[in-house]
Amino acid sequence: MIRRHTLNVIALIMAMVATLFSVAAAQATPKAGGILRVAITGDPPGLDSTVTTSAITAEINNHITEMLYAFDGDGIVRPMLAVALPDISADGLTYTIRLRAGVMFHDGSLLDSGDVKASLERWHRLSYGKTVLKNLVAIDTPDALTVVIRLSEPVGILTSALGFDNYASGIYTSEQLAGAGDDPIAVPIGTGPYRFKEWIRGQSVVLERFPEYSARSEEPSGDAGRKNAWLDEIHFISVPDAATRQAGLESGEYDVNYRAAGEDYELIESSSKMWPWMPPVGYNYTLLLNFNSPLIQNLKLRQAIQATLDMDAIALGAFGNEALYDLNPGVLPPGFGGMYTDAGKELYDQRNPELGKKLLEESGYDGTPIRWITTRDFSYQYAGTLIAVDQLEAIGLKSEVIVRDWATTVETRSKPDAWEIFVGNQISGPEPEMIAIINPGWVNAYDGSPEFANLMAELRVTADPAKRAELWAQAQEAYYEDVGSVRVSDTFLLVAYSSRVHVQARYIAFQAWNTWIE
Amino acid sequence: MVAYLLRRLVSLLSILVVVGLVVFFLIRLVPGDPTSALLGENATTEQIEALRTRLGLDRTLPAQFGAWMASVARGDLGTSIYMRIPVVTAVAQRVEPTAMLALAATLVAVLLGVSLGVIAAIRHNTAADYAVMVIAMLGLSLPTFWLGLLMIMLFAVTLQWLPAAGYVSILQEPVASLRYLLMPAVALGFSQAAIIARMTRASVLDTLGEDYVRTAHSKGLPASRVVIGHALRNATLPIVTVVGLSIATLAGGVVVTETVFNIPGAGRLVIDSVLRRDYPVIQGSVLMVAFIYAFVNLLVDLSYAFFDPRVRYQ
Repeated sequence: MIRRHTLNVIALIMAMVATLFSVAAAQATPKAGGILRVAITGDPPGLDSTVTTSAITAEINNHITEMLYAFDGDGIVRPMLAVALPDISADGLTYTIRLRAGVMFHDGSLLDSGDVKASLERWHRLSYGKTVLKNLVAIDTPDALTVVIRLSEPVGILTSALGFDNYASGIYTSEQLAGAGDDPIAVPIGTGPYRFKEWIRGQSVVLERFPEYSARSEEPSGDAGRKNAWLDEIHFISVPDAATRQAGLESGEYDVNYRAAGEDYELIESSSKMWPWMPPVGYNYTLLLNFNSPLIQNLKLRQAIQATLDMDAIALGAFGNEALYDLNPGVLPPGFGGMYTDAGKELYDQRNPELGKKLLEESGYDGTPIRWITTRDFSYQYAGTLIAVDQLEAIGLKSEVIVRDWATTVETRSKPDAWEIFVGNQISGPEPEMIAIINPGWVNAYDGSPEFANLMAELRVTADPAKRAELWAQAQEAYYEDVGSVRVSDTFLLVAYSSRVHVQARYIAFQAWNTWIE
Repeated sequence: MVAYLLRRLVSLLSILVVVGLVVFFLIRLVPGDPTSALLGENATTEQIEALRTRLGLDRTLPAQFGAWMASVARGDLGTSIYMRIPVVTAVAQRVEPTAMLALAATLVAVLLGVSLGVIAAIRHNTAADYAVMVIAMLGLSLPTFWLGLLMIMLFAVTLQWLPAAGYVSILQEPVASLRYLLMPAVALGFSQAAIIARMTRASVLDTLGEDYVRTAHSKGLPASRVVIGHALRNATLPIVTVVGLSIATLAGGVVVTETVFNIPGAGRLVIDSVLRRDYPVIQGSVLMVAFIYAFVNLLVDLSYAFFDPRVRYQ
């Protein structure tokens, strides 16, 4: 009897172990098919990421088009449509790029150098290429699978820029580019793992699997490597209300809440029905200073602000959970690319109101209120502003908080004499030249101290990674000394997935390739 | 009657012209323009200026107004700056969800409001009357979006009886469409039901004290027939007025309800367009809403003669 009972127990344990293994195997084994319903924050302004910096456009477009290069999960540039990284001449003026053979566009045509030339020329004319390829001499196509970019001066980040998805250099067919001219492309035809199927304005964008997709063979990582299109379709559904997105995820209406609210983090993390994901490259949460204003041009006053603020209090108040931000001094994110540095860290997050008060007195500040522009449309901007204002009032800095809707705030920010400080998320990236707030020509009008400007000028023409890292460390230190902006933290977007959804590889921006659904 | 109708139609047209003028200049008084929505947050000043020129936003306001009026006179409400489709198409795509939601909410409001109002009137000063009035006060006090979110949490997330959000066309899947409409219709209709219930109660109470009602009772007619056939029939005019105003109020209320329940209707189109400063869509949508508002009021005025044959139009 005992023996029989023992046998039953052993059989039961074996059955449980077998079940556990089969569940694990089912979870580990990708499954083809299904529709992924992604609740996004609103209707994208278009699907052509060459002509807009909109994040949602970029993240949808990434599934449709590809670039010559792509960033892997560690922020290292890898080839995508190119066979390998470019051959760069010794003087840094000629980039020779070989294209992969047999890559098919969604219309059935094959990728050739004419498509790449037309795409890069449009990028140069309308987009970020205008800055990066400022010294472009010509783009040549010696044969069907070779592109040569000739420059009059070296460019430090050309390869990276050809894989950067903000104002992206996506590769389209030369035929559709000829048809679109300088207008945005309405229906992009790319080489990506998913192709455009339908867009009902204000409701949803539907992509479907591209069966003839030419995948790379390397292991998937970030935007680089092999892209497996396991899903039949991806539905990007416009759901502007954050509470509705989350409720829809919990009720099973959606599979992904593309922008979950920070206050829902603990709920998502503790639930068995959902799991949270934060892409490693978030945003640079910063007090943007307007250098057009005489008040901000006062270095001592800027130093007073930098010395006083308690960044943890501001970030926690703005984002509500420590998991959603990271306090570090790097203007470029850690763990992504080789450019992160903590140079200047002694000037970051000083929490020293006494020093702030002393510096404010030395600045000759006459009590003129600092104008902070903010919006309640993004609670993190508003909350961060109020906390910073409160901390600075303690040292005697007077403030006027101007609260408007987002569109008005953007317009106000573009007026040189209308504001002093704006607290918000600035785009982060793997290279200093990609960060708008530290480069000339943006709304904050920051040209930098002579030391910083010289280092950045040298960086712009330096391609060697080690030399670039060294230059950038010096530049960041000079940036802190000059208080080019007052950095608070890195912050991360929160994506909430249904537990039915599995993602194979670490990614940078939202992606639905290498993703499957139970 | 015909002269009255013509007069009202002319006045409707002049209302539309005034509304067009006001909305054109009002939306341009608000700072911001569509370029920030189109180009994203990190566009440079140079890129913003180039787009403004391409969209014609660098022209003077009178020049822009003249161009818009000329195209409206030709029956063209313009093209959406953000969506790059004709405004008429954009609005037409959104009319069905809004119309269905408004219709369903009106049904909820009328059925619930009239029933509760009649019950409260015939059970005057009893527990039933007080209960109905408490429900009416609740309906008036609860914000629609809050009620909507509570319903989503209960019926979609916890019980999983109904979908949390979205819309399915009644022409494609009638049953699914009703499942999607139920919660938003109740959330939106509840506050209007409260108003209708209060008005029905007061109006029916008035008529219940009339001589003809007492006569009907004394003739031995069943109570239900007296209430429905005599008291309610004669109490209808003020109720119809309130229902007409409710439809207009619902047209405004759908904006919030559409956002909470993610219904791609005309209300959400207007809100999105205001946030993106998509001028042609804002102008076109407001014109159309003004037309619906004025037209429904005209229909309500015309319906008085149906409910009360003594009414004459001059």
